[in-house]
Formats: sequence, C-alpha cells, structure tokens
Amino acid sequence: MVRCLREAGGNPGRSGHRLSIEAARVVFDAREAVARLIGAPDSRQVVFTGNATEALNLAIAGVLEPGAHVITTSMEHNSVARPLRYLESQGVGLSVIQTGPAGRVDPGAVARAMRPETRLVAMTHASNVIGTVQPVEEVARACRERGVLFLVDAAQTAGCYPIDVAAAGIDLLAFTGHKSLLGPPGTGGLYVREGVTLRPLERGGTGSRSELDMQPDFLPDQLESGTPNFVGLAGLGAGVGVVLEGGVEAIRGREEGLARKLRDGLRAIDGVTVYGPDDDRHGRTVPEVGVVSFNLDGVEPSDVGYILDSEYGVLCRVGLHCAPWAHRTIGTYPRGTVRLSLGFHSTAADVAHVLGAVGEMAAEARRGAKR
Amino acid sequence: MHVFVVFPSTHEAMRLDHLLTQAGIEHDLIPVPRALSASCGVAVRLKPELEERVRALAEGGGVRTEGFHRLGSEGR
Repeated sequence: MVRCLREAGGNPGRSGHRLSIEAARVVFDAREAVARLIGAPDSRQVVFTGNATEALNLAIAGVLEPGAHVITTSMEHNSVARPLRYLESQGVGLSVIQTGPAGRVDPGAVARAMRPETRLVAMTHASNVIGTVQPVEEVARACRERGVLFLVDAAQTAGCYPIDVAAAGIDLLAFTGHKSLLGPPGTGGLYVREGVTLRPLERGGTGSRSELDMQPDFLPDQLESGTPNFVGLAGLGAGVGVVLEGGVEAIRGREEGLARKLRDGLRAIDGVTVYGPDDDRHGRTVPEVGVVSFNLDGVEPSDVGYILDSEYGVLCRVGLHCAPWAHRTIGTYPRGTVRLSLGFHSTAADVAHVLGAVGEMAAEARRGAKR
Repeated sequence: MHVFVVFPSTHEAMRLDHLLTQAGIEHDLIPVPRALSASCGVAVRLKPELEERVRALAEGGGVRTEGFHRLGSEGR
C-alpha cells in the first residue's frame, strides 16, 4: 500500500499517465485475484465496494422493487436484516426462515417459502455469531429451479472456506476485504453473475463513456462510480495473493482444527456454555468456521471481554455482534455472547492461552458464587 | 504508423495489457488519441505488424475492444 501511494498515486483509468495506469493495474490485479479465489468465470463481474455491507445493499436494492418478495434467514447480520426491513416498509414482501439453535437453514423451508413474485433469496454463508456454515449449494439449486436470484453474504467465509460461485450457482456474492481475505478495512465487493443486471446505488464518473451523461451499462463500471480506494485494493490484492498461495483448503483445514480445539476446550470448562451446532444434540455433521460464541455462568459478556483483554491480552467482541435476529435464534437475546474469532495467524498456543484464561475465570466465578 | 486499440472500459485495457505483458509483446499504454472516439481514456499502442497476433490474443482472452485503428505514431 505504501508502494502504491508512492508509485501509483494517479486516479485509476481516469488518465493515460504513468501513475494513473499503475493505479489501474493495481485495481485490475486485485479484481483478477478475487475472481480466481471465488471461481468467478470473468473478473469484470467482480465490482469493488467499501465493505460487505455496501455490497449487500447494492445487491438487495439493485434487485428488489415494491411488490417483489424476498426470502432470508433468522441467522442474518444487520447488514442483510436492516436493508430488508427497510424495503419491507416500502412494499417488498419479506419472509424470514427460522432456524433451530444450531443456526442451520433447511433448504426445503426456503424452497417452500417461494412464491410467484419471489425475486431474491439473501442469506449468509456462515453465521458471524456461531460460525454455522449454511447449505448454500442446496439453496442455490432451489433458486435456480424457480428462477429466483441467490445472494450470499460471504463476509465470514471468503478466504477461509472454499467458495466456487460458478459451480455452486451463486448469482450474487458479497465479501469484505478486512477478514479472511487479509486486506485492509474499507475494501469489499460484490460478484455479479453475467446476465444479472442490478440497478446501481450510485451513478457518476467511471473514466469511461465520458462524453455521455448516462451511466455505462457494462461491468465493472456500471456499479463502480467515483474514485476507487485503490490503495486499499492494493492491500486487498496482496492479501488475496497470500490466501491463494496458502490455498483455501489448507487454511480451512488448519482453522477447522483450531476451532474444534477451542470449542471442545470451552465445553469442557464447568460453567461455560458454547453456542452453535457443535453441541451434543446435533453431533458433528454441520460445518463451522472459526467463530465461537460462549457465555460464562454468572458473569456478563462485557465483563468477560474486559477481563480477557486487560488480564490476558485476549481481544474479543462481546454483546450482540450486530445480529439481533441470530441471538434470538440461539436464545441469547438480549444478553449476547462472548465471541472468539480465529484467523489466518491464530495458533494452537493462542487457543491454549484462551482456554487457560477462560478456565481461570470460570474457577473464579465458581468461587464467587459459593461465597 | 501504429495500431491503436481502444476499449469500452479501463478494465478491458488492463486485461489486454496484462495478456500482452505475459506474452512478451511490446506495447504502450497511452491516452486515447483525439482522432479516435473511444469510451475509455486509455489505449494500447502497437507496431502494425503485431496487429493480427494481438487480435487473436484479445479474442482468446475475452477482451472487449472498441476497435483496432491505424494512425500516425502520434495518433494523428
């Protein structure tokens, strides 16, 4: 990114000078890298946004009009829930498929909720609260059979869980740069299957068709107006390069092992409740990403988070994680949970350290309860 | 005399640039000459004898162009 600011400080594609062309190359390379990672047949179908939220809004508002019907799930983040609730107030029909506490969506329930006017199914690939991975291939099949567009929120999975948009039949896929793609905040994007046309959220300068005052009708320009964050995209391209080099399958295997250790270790601590499909009722058939939510009996999540940070140097997020629907679904609303997230750089030593910390806190809480 | 390739978008120009660089084909990226009306502001400039090879590469790589044009080397 530093090299990018020094040597590519022009506006990508707005000019023919050296710095502008270097900036355009940076954006092109990032686009190609993302396309390769998610199995997009053509990189021009990848448009960049500021984050996954913007990408989800673009997809949702770009497809739905009053009178249309949309299906989503009770495990969604507010980045899907809020735009849909808003559109509901504007005359869009909304069905929310309720899941059990494991958070896994039944593809049959999605198919049964479809109506003649259903235009879109919007759902997360993996829960940002408990890590449950959704059966997107099955839902994609149901969508294809009924001619319904399928939008997947891959904020938790892009870079750490295999995704192939073409093979899975995903029409729209939103991603963020700042999680498992190892890029900086302020980067994200949307894959748009060729043949799917979205109404842009914004219109403006694109560096193309400059003689016309009408928005271009081709990608990526149609959905990318204004100066892009090419410095951020330099970081995103580099991050995705690291992921491609490591291989998503290998990254996934490592994270899955660590997540299992973390979940098992937490469950073994007296006074700890771990949420998600990993509990005994559901066995081990449901895949999860490295997002683990738990609570400690008798201690508020905010206190657990504070002590983990100040005494053990463990940084985690506590509360509702911008996902009130998901917390209602798993039975932790309004208290919320303590959420631990594993990533590319997490190690077995990190997991052992956290388990030791939570173990000590649980023992302390038990002593306090006895007094 | 040079061949100038023009494009609907910067992305397409970058894609051809990438393919040509990979193939080791000499080319320049330059601002689109005034004499050519094109959608995107960047053009690829080639020696005329490379045109057929580059056309084939562009087609094979799925690059969308708005044409190959022969003009003087300064784009006039």
